[in-house]
Amino acid sequence: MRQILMAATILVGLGIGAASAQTTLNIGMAAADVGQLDPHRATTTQDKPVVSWIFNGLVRFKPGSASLESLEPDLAERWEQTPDGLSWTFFLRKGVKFHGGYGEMTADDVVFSLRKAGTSQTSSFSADYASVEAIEAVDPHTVRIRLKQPIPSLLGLVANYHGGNIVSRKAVEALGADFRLKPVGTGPFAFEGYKPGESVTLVANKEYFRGAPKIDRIVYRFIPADAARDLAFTSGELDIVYGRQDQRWAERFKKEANVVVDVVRPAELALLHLNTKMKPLDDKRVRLALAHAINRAQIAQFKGDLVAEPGVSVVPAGYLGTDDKAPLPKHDVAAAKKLLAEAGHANGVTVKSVQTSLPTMLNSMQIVQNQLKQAGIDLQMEVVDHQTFHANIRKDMSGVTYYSAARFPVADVYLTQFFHSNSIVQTPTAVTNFSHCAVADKEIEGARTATDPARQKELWMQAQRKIIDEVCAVVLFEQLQVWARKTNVDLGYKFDGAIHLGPVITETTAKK
Amino acid sequence: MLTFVAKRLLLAVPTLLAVLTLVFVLVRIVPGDPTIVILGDQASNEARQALRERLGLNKSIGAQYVDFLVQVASGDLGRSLTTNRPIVADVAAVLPYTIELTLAALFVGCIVGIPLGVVAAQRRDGLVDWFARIVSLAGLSFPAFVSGILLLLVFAIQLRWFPVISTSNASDPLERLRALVLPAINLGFLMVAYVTRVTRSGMIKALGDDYVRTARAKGLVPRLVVWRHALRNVLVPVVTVVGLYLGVLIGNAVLTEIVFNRPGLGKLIVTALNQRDYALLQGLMVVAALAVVVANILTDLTYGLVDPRVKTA
Repeated sequence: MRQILMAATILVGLGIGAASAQTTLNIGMAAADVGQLDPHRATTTQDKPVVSWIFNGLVRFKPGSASLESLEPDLAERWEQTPDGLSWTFFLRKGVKFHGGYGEMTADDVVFSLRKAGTSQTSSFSADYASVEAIEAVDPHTVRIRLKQPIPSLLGLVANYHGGNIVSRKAVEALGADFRLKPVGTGPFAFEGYKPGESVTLVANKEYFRGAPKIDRIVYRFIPADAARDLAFTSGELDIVYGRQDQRWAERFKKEANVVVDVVRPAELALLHLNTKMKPLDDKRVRLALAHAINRAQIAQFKGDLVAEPGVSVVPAGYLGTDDKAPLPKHDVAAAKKLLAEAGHANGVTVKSVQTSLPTMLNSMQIVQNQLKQAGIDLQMEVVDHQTFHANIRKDMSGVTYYSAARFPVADVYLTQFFHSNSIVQTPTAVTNFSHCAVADKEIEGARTATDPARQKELWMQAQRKIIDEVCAVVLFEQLQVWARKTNVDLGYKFDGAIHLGPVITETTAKK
Repeated sequence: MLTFVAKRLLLAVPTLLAVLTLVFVLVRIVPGDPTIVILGDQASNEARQALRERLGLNKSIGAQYVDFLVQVASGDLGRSLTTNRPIVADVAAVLPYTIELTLAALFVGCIVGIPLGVVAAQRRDGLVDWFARIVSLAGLSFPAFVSGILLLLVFAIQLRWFPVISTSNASDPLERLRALVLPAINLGFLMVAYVTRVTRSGMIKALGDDYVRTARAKGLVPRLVVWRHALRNVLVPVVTVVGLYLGVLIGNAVLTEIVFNRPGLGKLIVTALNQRDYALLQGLMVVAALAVVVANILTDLTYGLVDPRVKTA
């Protein structure tokens, strides 16, 4: 009898043990801390991946893809638009629950979310919604969006990205400012906890409308020191790690047993923005000379072919509207010297640049500096810390501004933020137009509202060519995103693109 | 003793005020804009200006300073500009780890440094003495981030005795202790260097003093002569050095915290500075300055324990 009882106890114990064994995914990120997890405010590289695991949009980028062509239904099952493109109606899924007992997702939440996304006091992406006239709930599961002018890429504004993420109205109103670190969404993972400077923990949303996730918990660790992060990954304490955008790093980890290195788009396009209002760059011949002095292929080769590619235009490759065949100035040192002489600088010229001390950006500029020197252009760099760099370039203090960025994969966003006159620095509506470029405003605005896709692409192409012709910026290279994971982590999809700057952890992601 | 502590704390107030004012001014002189961190690089100038108004950053520096003093006087360190969390909560979350690491480093420093210094002095110019001097030099010259990586490579990666990254999620006290060992050794290395040097030079002098000669002549066991009589007189300068460098330890802890990914005051200060989070930085510097003041008070109190001739009136 005693033996039977003992055997039964052991069996029950094993059963409990098996049931309570949880699958935890440990992810290491190169950041000191979270920024914020309100999806309408999450702009940093470390915040965007976490937001993608917590929230949904009306439509979503297919996991593993950063292409607009991959957009598919998410919280909306289907949608319609009027022939004039001024009204869109979205039909919502029924029975989708918010985390934390905040009830069912309804049209009221969608209206609240999109209005919040379009308001500057509550969103960093409000400018994207400037053409939205009204958002209304037709019934509890139908939302209508009325526009001031047609927006052919409206689906991008309601996708699971930036302002398109749908939040719980009740949760935002109840939590107020605390919502930024206690997010409530409908996604496969719910926020569980945050330890400052350490980690964010998420737990599986067992009621997720696509099915319960195979991963029970995600621990997202902030590990700013590269060496510590790499060692923790090697020792097995991390399952997925943010990789260094460095050829040697990628090559080293590719050789490690049980490791998969993923190098994906969208890439960050590195441009040299030339301040057309600052001498001597106010002379187009000097700007063109600078462009001819740059050897894009050499810079991309220095960066490494695993993690970088030469740029193709002033908009990153692969975006909707990128001119892949843009006529970029060729590397020609003799032509550069001739132009400088014509501009009255036969003995050389000095240009100034405020430059960040971040190693990956500084080393690229050191290559550029050396290339420019061959043509008689002395690039004097004032190297400052990264925050000072961001502040000073926005104060219009730099003649040459090296800036590397990825944006939503539509040419309009990149062109508007970097090359439209509304975005010129030091103006009220300033974003990141460091060159004071204003040559392509008509084409950019025209493309935004063009209903014919061919005409829209034509206008974008014209805009890019005008900007290149005016030499508002010099195209350098594109830096791809790098992640590494253990082979026992199956993401559940083919990882070709990371619009959220990190692998999407879905209900199909598993750890063996 | 209570009067002594109260007097010292009162004297600390002008010190803290001076630190606060200096940090307040310096942080605002350094270029940078917290609204860029909070809103991201795609936000317009208009949005950033609106946020500056909401955060009170558009007021004059004088007005901001007065607001801040009034806030601190009422015991409120304010809220972080970037996370909106109460600064007191952030400090409470990391301070235990800083205290834990500092005390552990102190323990390592004393438990290794004092015996090493004593034996080195006894066997002057011998093998142990040379070893002690090399260890002392290495401790002073080795950058903490280099020694930290080496410790990780050997003990965490090759031998797998300890974890690479610390975690406060460890509910098991033994796991937490295991995660503390390498960071404590890394930070304690500096303390070993200081303590060994001071102990060695103090002991060399003490072992040549008349009272030691007398004790030997009276036939006392050598062990007692060294450890009970000579060392007792050397502990006062050792306590001075420990107290003096406790503040250094708190400051130096940041590199160890970063390499071993431990939460801590130093790491949070660096993060706040990088993000230009003025409010968080000010609050943290008040706490750090207070920690140094408390460390100095404890040092003064320890003199009385070590040397009964010293009274804290």
